[in-house]
Amino acid sequence: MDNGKYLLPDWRTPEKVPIRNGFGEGLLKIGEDERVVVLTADLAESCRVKPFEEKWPERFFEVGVAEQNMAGVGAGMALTGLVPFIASYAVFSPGRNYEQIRMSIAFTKANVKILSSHAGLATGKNGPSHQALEDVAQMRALPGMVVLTPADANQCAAAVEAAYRYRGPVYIRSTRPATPRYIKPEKFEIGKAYIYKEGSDLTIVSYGIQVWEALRAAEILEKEGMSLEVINASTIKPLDEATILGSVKKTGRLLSFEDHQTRGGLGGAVAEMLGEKLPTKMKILGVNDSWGGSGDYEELYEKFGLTSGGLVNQVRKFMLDL
Amino acid sequence: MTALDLVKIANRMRQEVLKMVHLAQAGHVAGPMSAADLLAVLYFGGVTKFDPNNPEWEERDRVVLSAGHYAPLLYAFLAEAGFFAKDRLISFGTLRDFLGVHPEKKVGEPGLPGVEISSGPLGQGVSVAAGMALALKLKYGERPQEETPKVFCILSDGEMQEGQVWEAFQFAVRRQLDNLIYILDRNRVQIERYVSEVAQMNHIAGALEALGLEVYEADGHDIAQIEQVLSRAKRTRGGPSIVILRTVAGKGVKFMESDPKWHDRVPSDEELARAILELEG
Repeated sequence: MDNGKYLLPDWRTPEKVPIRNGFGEGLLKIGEDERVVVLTADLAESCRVKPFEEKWPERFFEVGVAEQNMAGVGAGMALTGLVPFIASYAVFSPGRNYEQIRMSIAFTKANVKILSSHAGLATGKNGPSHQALEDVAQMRALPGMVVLTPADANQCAAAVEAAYRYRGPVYIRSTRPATPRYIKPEKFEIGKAYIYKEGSDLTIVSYGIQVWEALRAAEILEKEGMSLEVINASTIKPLDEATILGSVKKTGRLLSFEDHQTRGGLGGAVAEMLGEKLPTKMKILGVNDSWGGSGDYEELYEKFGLTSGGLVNQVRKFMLDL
Repeated sequence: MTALDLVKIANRMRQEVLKMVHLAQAGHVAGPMSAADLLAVLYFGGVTKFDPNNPEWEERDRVVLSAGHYAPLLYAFLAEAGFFAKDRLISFGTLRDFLGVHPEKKVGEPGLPGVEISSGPLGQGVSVAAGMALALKLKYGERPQEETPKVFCILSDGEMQEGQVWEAFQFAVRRQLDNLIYILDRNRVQIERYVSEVAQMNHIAGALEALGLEVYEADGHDIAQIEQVLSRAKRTRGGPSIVILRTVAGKGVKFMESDPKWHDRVPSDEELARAILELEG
């Protein structure tokens, strides 16, 4: 079942690296271009943009705890020919500065790349105030905004490069804890959903930390005679409708799986598409209209079923319902 | 151009604003009227460097309208300055052209030449202007200060109630953006009331100085004072300046002056006629 096309051979026993490290790695690759500037709102270390600061301090700007200004300043720099990357936590950006992102960046088509870390329950003990569960919903609602959700640090670095090459606003969501680094470091294709495992009984679409969990769940269920197809929707907008539709035509059923509210994220995007084009028996897994809590992320993930074990349970229930 | 020439242009542009708003049955009045003398100096007083035939000229000075609802005034002046044909003004507030009630700037699209940013939500342009100034300093900072492209950002007193404005001011001061000149149109009114009813503006000059901005003040309807204060602001070193212009909302038409209801009230046929008459005289 191992899909050697996209995954590293040791994907089952991977090195663990935070997805947000990809911000730092990606910026180092593209930072030579003098038009690239990086701004952060007092979160250089945790958003992993410090490496850029150390290498190109004259193009790094600490804006302080002021995310709305950060978005506007980024827009102004983009309008003056630069390629700004603005970094903060997803709760603050796009949370606190949503209107600035909406008007000064998205509407204006300013070439600003929004790097947001610490998304989801994965943020852990800082608690609900720091756990962004709505950011995908917010960003995908904006016309012209590209929304990328890499599943590991390699893909995150590649997403940064892809964002740099793309002309227009881009949002990249990343997470805090050390999680499997298992995807081949290859070019990130905006708008492409990757089938990491082919299967015939059920389609799983996921992104971020949950993709690896889904692959583990698929292996467990394979032994029970269930054949899952696992898709990494690393671009939420524009959604790769063709790949998802093709998969659902084959399997006839779909589960979406994300560290985000069940309403408005990937599940919502897929449901909207299928509802119009191919109504399908589906269920959306995530945080179901609820808040997180101030606990270890593993604890939170167990509680909310966002692990391979949680997915296995959900799949069994879902398949029995048919 | 003499001060009188500039006043005449300002009054003609006031008429244009009223006609545009009346035709569209939408748009804002009081603010545009109070800032007309300022824009006359900016666009015709030799204060800013620009080329209407090359609106994207990299080294131009930028005039950024953060108080986006002053759009009809901006459009009237841009047309007058030769950025586009005057007959486009009749499309203000319609879907036919790019003359929205609030300015729209979209990268990669034709839009309206001379419009530097999208604005409307108050406070946003203040940050965007700072970003532009910073980028220009990065690019041209080695030149003598007089030759570094400048950013002039117009904001309103009501707008200063938005927190983002204060974020931007602090940032501009810390980054020593001395090619950034904020201009506050202090006309004392906002949508439903006088600014003084909700804001703490009595010592605003002192507050801004305390924050680290270089503060200048002038009568916003005295051409010579506006010219002088902008000239001093342009020569300020070490950090951003803010020029506080004391203005009268709805200036130029007695029955509109200092009345919050004229923030976004569309003049009737009769009111338009009376206003034009007064402005022509």
